[in-house]
Amino acid sequence: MRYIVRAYRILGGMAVAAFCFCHLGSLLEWNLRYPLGEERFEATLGEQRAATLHEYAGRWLRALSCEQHWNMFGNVGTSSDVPLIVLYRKDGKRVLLHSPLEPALKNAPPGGDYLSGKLSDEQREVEWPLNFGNGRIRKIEDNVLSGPEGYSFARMSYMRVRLREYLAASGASLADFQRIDLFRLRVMHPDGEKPARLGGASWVMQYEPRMDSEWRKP
Amino acid sequence: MAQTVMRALLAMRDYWFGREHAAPMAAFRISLGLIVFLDTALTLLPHAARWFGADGFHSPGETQWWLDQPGRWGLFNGTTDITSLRLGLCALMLCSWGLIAGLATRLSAACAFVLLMSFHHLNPNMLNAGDALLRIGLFYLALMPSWRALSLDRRILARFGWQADPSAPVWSLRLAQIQLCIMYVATGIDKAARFDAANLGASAWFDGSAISKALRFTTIARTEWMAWVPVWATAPMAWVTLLWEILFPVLVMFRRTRPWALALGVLVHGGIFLTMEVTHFSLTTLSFYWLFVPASVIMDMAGKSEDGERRVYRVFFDTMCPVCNRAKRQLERLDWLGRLKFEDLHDRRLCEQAMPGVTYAQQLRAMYVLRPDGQYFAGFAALRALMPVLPMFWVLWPIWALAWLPGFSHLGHAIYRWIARNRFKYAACDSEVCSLHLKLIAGKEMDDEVIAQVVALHERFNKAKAAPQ
Repeated sequence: MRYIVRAYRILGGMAVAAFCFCHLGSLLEWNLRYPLGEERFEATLGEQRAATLHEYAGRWLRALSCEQHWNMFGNVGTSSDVPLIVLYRKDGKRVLLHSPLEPALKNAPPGGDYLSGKLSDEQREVEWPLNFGNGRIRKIEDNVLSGPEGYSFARMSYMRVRLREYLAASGASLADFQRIDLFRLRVMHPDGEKPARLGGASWVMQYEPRMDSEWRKP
Repeated sequence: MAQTVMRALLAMRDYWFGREHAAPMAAFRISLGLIVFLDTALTLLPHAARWFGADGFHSPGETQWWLDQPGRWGLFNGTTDITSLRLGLCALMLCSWGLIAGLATRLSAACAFVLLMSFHHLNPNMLNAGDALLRIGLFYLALMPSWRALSLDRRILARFGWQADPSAPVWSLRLAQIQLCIMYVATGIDKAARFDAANLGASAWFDGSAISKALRFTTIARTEWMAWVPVWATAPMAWVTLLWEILFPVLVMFRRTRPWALALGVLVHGGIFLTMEVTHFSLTTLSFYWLFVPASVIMDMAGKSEDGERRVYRVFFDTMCPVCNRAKRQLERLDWLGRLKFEDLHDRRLCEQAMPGVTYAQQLRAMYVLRPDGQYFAGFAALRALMPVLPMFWVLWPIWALAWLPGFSHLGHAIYRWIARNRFKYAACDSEVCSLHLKLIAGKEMDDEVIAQVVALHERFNKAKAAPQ
């Protein structure tokens, strides 16, 4: 019995040691590969071996759900983007679906249309939003706007949800609109004497519900 | 040579396979349980249809390529039935209660990890670093025997006559500690790698503007209150933060620098939480800090030792000194949990039994605090040692953290020494014994003669107290 217990202990210890070795090795490879430079890994291990090591480290960490690359606040920007959906009505008017994160304009006249680019700097000055509990939607909107202009899954699902919510709330029909576009609206952070303000809006993609296989009426 | 290698191997064995009290693991478990509960109850469950439903911000095909990567798995891949998903979220909340109470602890941790990971894989678009860290924390928790301290499991087993050993193997705790170190070092190196000597402005961390820019980040900074803070005021903080991130593993490795590293981290993450909307990232990171805190501190906060004995801090103070009496009354007011026991430092037999080696003269110069683990502290360090058992400082944690930082702690020691030295000038004595006592000890060398006079005075003091009014 004593030998069985001892064997169990030794084998258990070896299994734990092997697990710790593999896990730590994977964590180090995964997290230090890019900050230290891929070339260094390749120069030390050889290109093929470095690639194989990276592949297995990735598999291991993905299976244990620990595959995060850590680089929080790597560089902090001076502006950020929020999505803006523009619905062009058939009667020539347009409806803007603002992001919940978009700061409100401070001095703009009622009905001011900052898409036109005719507003002055003062009219683009914004109220600071209270950012509390909106971290998840911000992340989604970041992902919607990341990458170059054009189609993406994240954009499609975002447009679908926002449009459905608008149609359900307003009672409007899809037939009232001739075109739906997604814009990227720039928010300029305060800089020296300049307060927070809205920058320009740039076009990202057109959304056509009739071409969207997952579109359903609200 | 062989001996050195052998010693190193043994040290390595102890580091990975030694046993330590499970209180830090238990505190980690309770913190993560609370975060999972709050995150599920406030952000996931109420908006489940928006995040995960068929009509939500995510379409099942969107991340299929991502889910198909070798190794990745989850319970709900492809599921859009919102009722099953809501049930899954309720199960996750149930697991979080299991973690908080320490009921079916291992099972709760494993299930919480699998469920949270499965939900994260359903819609990775909404995740930030805090979510990843929470999931990773639950993975390590599932490996930890955290039920061995502060848990219902332990109490239930005790009912059946099995007093479980509160110590546990530490390898899983070490993995979690190293994970946090890797997180900081990778982040620090990533920032440092952007260094360009010819163009410092290329990196906000080197030109010192990073924190100022973060405070002006209109879509993340909570309010505009901090947007006015100029770059020069936050630049030193940016440089210290960068240095601290890179050196974190070294700083926590040594017992002497560990409290500083953790205190700075508490301030950094507390500051991020107060000024920026990054969901629960700061709270989750701070949960990992428990793994570096000595078990004795956590047991002191919990108030009871494993055998049910009440953990009381003994405070030795000068009963004849009015300033000390006032300080004692203040401490009594803050002692909401009744964790302090005040002792008269003039009771020499009691003092010598409690703290052998501490002289009468030393005690006359500063207040002493004796912790239940037998360690004692004097002066400002004594006040700092009391903070874990005074619930007010659980709320005012920045003060607690500051008290450990170099600079602030030196200032604290200096202020304490000044007050102790000058208490004679500012004390309002109500008796002759008191004023004689203070005059006697003010600025004097505590030689045998002075001590003998103090003893004589104390006898008079006791007689006066005992005499009928």
